[in-house]
Amino acid sequence: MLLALAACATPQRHDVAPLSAPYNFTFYDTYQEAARSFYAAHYAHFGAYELLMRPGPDLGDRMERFEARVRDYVVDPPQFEPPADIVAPSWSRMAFGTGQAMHWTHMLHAQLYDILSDDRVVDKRSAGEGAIAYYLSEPDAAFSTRGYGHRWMEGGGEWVAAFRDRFPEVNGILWAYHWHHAAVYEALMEPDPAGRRAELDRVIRVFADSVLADLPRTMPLTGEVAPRFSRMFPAAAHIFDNLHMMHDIVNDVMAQPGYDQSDKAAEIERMLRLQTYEGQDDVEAPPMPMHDGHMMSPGSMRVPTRLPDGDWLPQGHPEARMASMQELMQPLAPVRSPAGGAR
Amino acid sequence: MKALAPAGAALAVLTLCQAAQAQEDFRSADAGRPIRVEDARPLKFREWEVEIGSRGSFEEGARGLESVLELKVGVFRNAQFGLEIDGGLESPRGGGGTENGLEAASAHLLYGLRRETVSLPAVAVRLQGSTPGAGELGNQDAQLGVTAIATRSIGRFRVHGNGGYTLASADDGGDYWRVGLAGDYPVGLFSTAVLADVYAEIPAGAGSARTWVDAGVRRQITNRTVLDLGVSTRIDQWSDGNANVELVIGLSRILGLGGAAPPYPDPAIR
Repeated sequence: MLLALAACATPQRHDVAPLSAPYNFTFYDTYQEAARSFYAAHYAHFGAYELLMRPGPDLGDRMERFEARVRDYVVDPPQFEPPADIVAPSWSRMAFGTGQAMHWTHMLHAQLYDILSDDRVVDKRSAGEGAIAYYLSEPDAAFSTRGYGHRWMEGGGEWVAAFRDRFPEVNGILWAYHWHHAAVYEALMEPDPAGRRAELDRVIRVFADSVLADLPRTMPLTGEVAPRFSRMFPAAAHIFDNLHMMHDIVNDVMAQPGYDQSDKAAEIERMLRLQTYEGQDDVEAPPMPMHDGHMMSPGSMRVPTRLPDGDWLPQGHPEARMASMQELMQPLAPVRSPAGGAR
Repeated sequence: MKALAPAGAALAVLTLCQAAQAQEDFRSADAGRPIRVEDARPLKFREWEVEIGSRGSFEEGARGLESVLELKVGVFRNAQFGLEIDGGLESPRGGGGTENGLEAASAHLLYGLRRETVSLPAVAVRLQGSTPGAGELGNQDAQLGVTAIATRSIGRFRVHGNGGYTLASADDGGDYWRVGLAGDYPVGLFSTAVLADVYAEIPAGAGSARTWVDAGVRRQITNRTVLDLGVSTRIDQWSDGNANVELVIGLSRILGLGGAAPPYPDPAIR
């Protein structure tokens, strides 16, 4: 009884293990170079958050040194994924729920890579939907499956662009990694192992030689970069876009001048709650602002589109319907009407 | 060889099971792996872990080998249940032949009462019970214990405090208090942690305290497996001019033994 009372009154971890499956770690075991190529991204995301926990006059210098370390890890990544609470111990305690949601979504990232890498998995779509269903069974830690595009990161609050305007180089590296995540999915859509390996080698080469050399100026959407993958798993494409958008939002909130730690914690938590799977049908997303500083990727005017066979194309997919500027400048209505019926 | 039997059984289990994902397991301060103090973080819900380990002791004129096999599972959110078998053999000082036996079989429940926040540490409680053992080294009677555990981070450094009480029969030395303080630190991004502790067992009745100092490392050697290595010494025996030293080695492996995906919910896309 005492334990139950204590548990009700205090915050707990509520950690849940990933779905147990024979394909787990196949991607790492088969394409280790590609798997390890993501670890600098984990370090970059969470390392930036930790730096921003201590803003001060030397923040610019510290960010420069940090960027150099990130680029070192791009060339020589860690052997295993660095846990967020080692890279960002203070931030992980401050924004615990958001860290957990990101970790939970990185788990889905990994399982979909594993499924696509494992030739023992014949029905990739069914296995992938199983992994997505397991992921969504934790609705308060899962990101929304709706196609928000860039709406929350461009129209979510006064902090928009606070980080990317001040640290465009580091921000560009993070967007480059968002491209990389999606490009690896598309490479793994090749039907045979030799084709997958050749495509992965090409993606890693392009990432190092081109994408990191000429950093993206917008946050790429999964549907734009990985059309075959996102057609098979439109929900996952949106989940990953929303995760990536949340990564950007956290950077911007953490860099917003005038926010103390409790302001940052509260705003990050508010933005997380707006973008999780839990209650997503009742959420109205903000309009896409069309001021000069907005950052839309070229394909993001293509909105989720239902096909005649009932399947969906996600936001950004090259075959999805092109929306008008007028449409994007309207709020994205809830799935459910206020009266409770489906629209 | 009897002491190695649990290790053989565990290796068989290790090869049969599907792995879950646990690249962060090197950071867990598990009791005995390799230090005695543990952290306040239970396994994840539905996560399984098997641990095997051996502790070789080297005293002047005496040798011993103790092995352990433990299976743990996150039985529900924030709670871990474990079963453990300890056994070993010993060649006491002054000859007299080798003694061996099963020290005890035990079970525990570790419950995370709260996670660490900006201002307060993580807190957990562990309830543990053990059966009588068998053979010359076996416990005579059942034992029951409770331990309070706290973990606090200072940057990347973590401090763990353990305090508890064990009910034991007079034949097994009587009730005793347990208290320990530990720290761990991750080395760069190398999936390696260094750990050290001071741990004492203080008889509730007459008798002097038994005090150990332990240090070691935990290193992720695969995505599923952690190797632990440590050295330990019982400092209250140093006054006899007999610095006993123990070497510790073990493996922990995360397993996945089930967990089915629910039906696909066909979630909203637009």
